This record gives sequence, C-alpha cells and structure tokens, in this order.
Amino acid sequence: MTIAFFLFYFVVVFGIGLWSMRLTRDESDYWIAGGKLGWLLGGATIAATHVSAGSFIGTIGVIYTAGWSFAWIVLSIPLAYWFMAAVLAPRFTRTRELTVSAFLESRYESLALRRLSALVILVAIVVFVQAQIVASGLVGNIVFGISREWAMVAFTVVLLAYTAIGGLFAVVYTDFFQLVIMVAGVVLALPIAVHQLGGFEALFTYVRAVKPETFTWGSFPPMHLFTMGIAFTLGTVATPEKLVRLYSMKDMRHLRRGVLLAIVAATGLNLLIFVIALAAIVLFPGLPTGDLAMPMIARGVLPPLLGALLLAAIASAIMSTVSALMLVAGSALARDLYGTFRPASTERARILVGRIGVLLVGTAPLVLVLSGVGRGELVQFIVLLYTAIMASSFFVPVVLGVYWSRATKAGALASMTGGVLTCFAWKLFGASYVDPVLPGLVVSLLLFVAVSLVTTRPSEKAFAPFAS
Amino acid sequence: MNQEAFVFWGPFVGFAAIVVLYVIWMFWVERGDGE
Repeated sequence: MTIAFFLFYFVVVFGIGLWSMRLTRDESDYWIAGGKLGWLLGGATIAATHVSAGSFIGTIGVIYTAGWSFAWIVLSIPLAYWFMAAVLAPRFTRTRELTVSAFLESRYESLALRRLSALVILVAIVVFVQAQIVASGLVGNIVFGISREWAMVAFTVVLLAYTAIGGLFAVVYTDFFQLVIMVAGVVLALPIAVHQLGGFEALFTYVRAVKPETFTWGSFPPMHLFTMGIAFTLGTVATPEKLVRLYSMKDMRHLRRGVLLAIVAATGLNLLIFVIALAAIVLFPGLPTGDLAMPMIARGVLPPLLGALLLAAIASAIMSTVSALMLVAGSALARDLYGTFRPASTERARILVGRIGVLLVGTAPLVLVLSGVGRGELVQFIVLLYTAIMASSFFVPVVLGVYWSRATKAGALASMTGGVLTCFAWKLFGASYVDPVLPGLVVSLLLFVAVSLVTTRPSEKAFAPFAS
Repeated sequence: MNQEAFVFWGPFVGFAAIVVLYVIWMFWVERGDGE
C-alpha cells in the first residue's frame, strides 16, 4: 500500500514537472516563473519551501528529546515573513532581477559581489541540502525497505528530473501539491495519534509521567530561545530562495496575501507537528534519536493509507525545500558564475545552461553524503548553520541596500566576507550558547557601515530604483 | 496561569496574535495605498 501510494506520488510530481515545461518560454519563466504568481500559488510555494525536513524530522526530534519549550521558536516564522512583506519587499521588488546575486550586482554595480554571493549560495546550499538528503534516506528506507543510500539516490533523481526540466513553474506547482499532502497528512494523523492515547488530557498526563521536564523551559531557557529565534528570523528573511519568491509574485497586493497564507500554513503545520512529537514521547519513549519520531508514528500508529500519507508528507517537505534550493543554487552556478564568464548568446542556450547547472548542483550534495562527508545526527542543527550563514552574508547588504543610498560595493563586499568568516569561526571556536548568526550579523553590519562611509559615494543611478 | 500552561500555550497564542495583527496591518496598508 505504502509503496503504491509513493509510486503514485512520484508519478504526479514528475507529471507536473513535464507539464510545467510547456509554461517555460524564456529565462524569466524558468527562474522566477515570469513574475506572474498570484497569492495562492505564491503563498503555497513560500510555505512549502519553508517547511522542510527540519520540521518533520529535526525539530520534532528536538521537541522529543529536549521538550516543548523549543516550540516557541515557531514564532520566528510569522515575524520573518511579516518583515519581508512590510519592510523588504516594497523596495526590493522594484527591480525584477532573476537572482539575488544579480540584484547585488545592479544595486552595488559590482560583478565581484555577484560572483562572491553566488559562491556563498552554492556552498551554503550544498551544506543544507545534505541534511535534507540524509532525511530522505531515512524516509525511503522506511517506505521501501531499501538501503538509505539507494533511497537518497532515488529521491535526488526524482527531484532533479522535475526541477531541471520545469524550472520555477514546476517547483511552484509541485510545491502546491506537496503542501496539500503535508497539510492533509498532519491534520489527519494528529487526531488519530491523540485518540490512541485517550484524548488530549490523557496525552498531557502521559507526557508528564514519561518526561516530567517536557513543559518546563528545560534545555531551552528563554534567553537561549530568544537568540535562536533571532537567528531563525533573520536567516529566513535573507535566504535567496525566499527572496527569489518575492520576485516571482505578480504585485504587492498578491505578495501580502501570499505571505499571509505562508505564515498560516508554515506556522500552523509546525505547531501541529510539534503536538505529534508529544504523542511520540509517550508511544515510543526509547528511540535512539528523536529524528525517528515522525516515521515511527507513520509506521506504528496510523492505519496503512494514513501512514503512507504522512510519510508522503515528510517526503513532500523534503522535496519542496530541496527543489527550491537546487533551482537557486543552479541559477548561482549557471547565471551568476558561469554565465558572467561565458554568457550564452541565445535564450534557449541560457535555459539549457541553467538546466545543466541545476543537475550539477543537485548531484553534489548526494555525492558528499554518500562519500561520508555530510552525515549529521540532528538535522535541525545543520539547518540552523545554513540560516546563520545566509543571515550573516545577505541580510545587511540586501535590506540596508534598498534603504541606504550611501552603501557602497566595498562596504557590501566587506560585510558579506566578514559576516560569513565570523559565522564559520564562531561555529568552530566560539561559545556554543551564542548562535553564530549574532556575531556574524554584528560584524557584517559594522563592516558594511564603516567601509561604506570611508569609500567613495556610489553613483545615484544604482540606488535610483529604490529611492522613496 | 502556571508555568507549564504558559510554556505550552505561548506559541499558539503568540501565533494567533501575530496573524490577527498582520491582517489588520494588511488592510490598513492597502486602504492607505488606495490599491
């Protein structure tokens, strides 16, 4: 039953990819869906991209292991998207570039900045996608009984097939389908899991008995949560796959409504997933790692069809996030790196180079995982490093770039380089109770302002589109 | 409200409050824009 359901699922997403290829007529269609998305598709793709293995495998694992206080981190989601809709988007979308790196080039009149940012995107996404690939191996192993390695290969092939073929249109339509699967899986699974335990009152009583510290601040005291929340919020704002989605929306009105949909769907899904984690604490108290909580609920508690649906929801979370990332990393490689050295002469050739870029970038994380480089214990903490790198490098040059006319390319270059290096250095040598994003952001901001002020004032032309 | 209830309900209440405020903001902005 489960295998048949999954095969059906794969056929549908691949079919959507093929169908979407017909919608792609030029580069703008391939990378930003032509900037034609309405609130429903636009909001769904933001939500589906946001909800990743981090939610279904990693975060639920943290709730399972460390307690409910981590659930407070969910408030970073609506705050981040509100900030994007209210502060960033009104100015950022005035020029409709195809990539964030292209935005940086036009805003700061610097090709070097475009290439540097593309390199950061490539490296960071390969790190992040490895975590998602590992999670897909877990799901594939449970569903098909095949080795984790083969499961990872199968997921990557299916993902690359529809992403490379159909571009952002394929990603957006599959995201919509996958969001529906995610919502259906979680909304149907939750009451059944809770019912098995005798209702919500019984659930809480059992949780208190099995793990009394669950509803205390426990492993995540408020100050720790606050700094992690800042990391999540700022990282969400600055990730290129989210910024590109702002470009893909039809207008500000659709953007604001789409963001509302994304806020409700992504935050609501996370909260429901966390409650399922509570059920897992009672039903499977001795799991070797919290990452197994959701797959165990799907296999051990739910009826076969619903279990398959929940596993498909996990697969959807992984695929919708990875497809978005592959597309962004592919655009970084094909347009912002290769394309700036050897630009293709025709539209058709540029799209072909884009597809090859997506294929190359999509294969790299799999190779790294299979070679043993990219395996981690708790997926969520790898996700956290990704957001920290993104926030430390992109937040300041992008957000201040559309508001501060005095910002220069030297300031942006120094900010991005200093932010990323600080982030890495802190992760390796800094105090573990302070998230790397905070020192990374502080250094990024200081360098941005200081270097901009001591370098020559930029031309008025570069800032003109963003002036109020 | 005891600490246990606060820890549990906080994320739900915070989420609901932010959504309500967002909707109010959205209509306020669009009325102001005359869109």
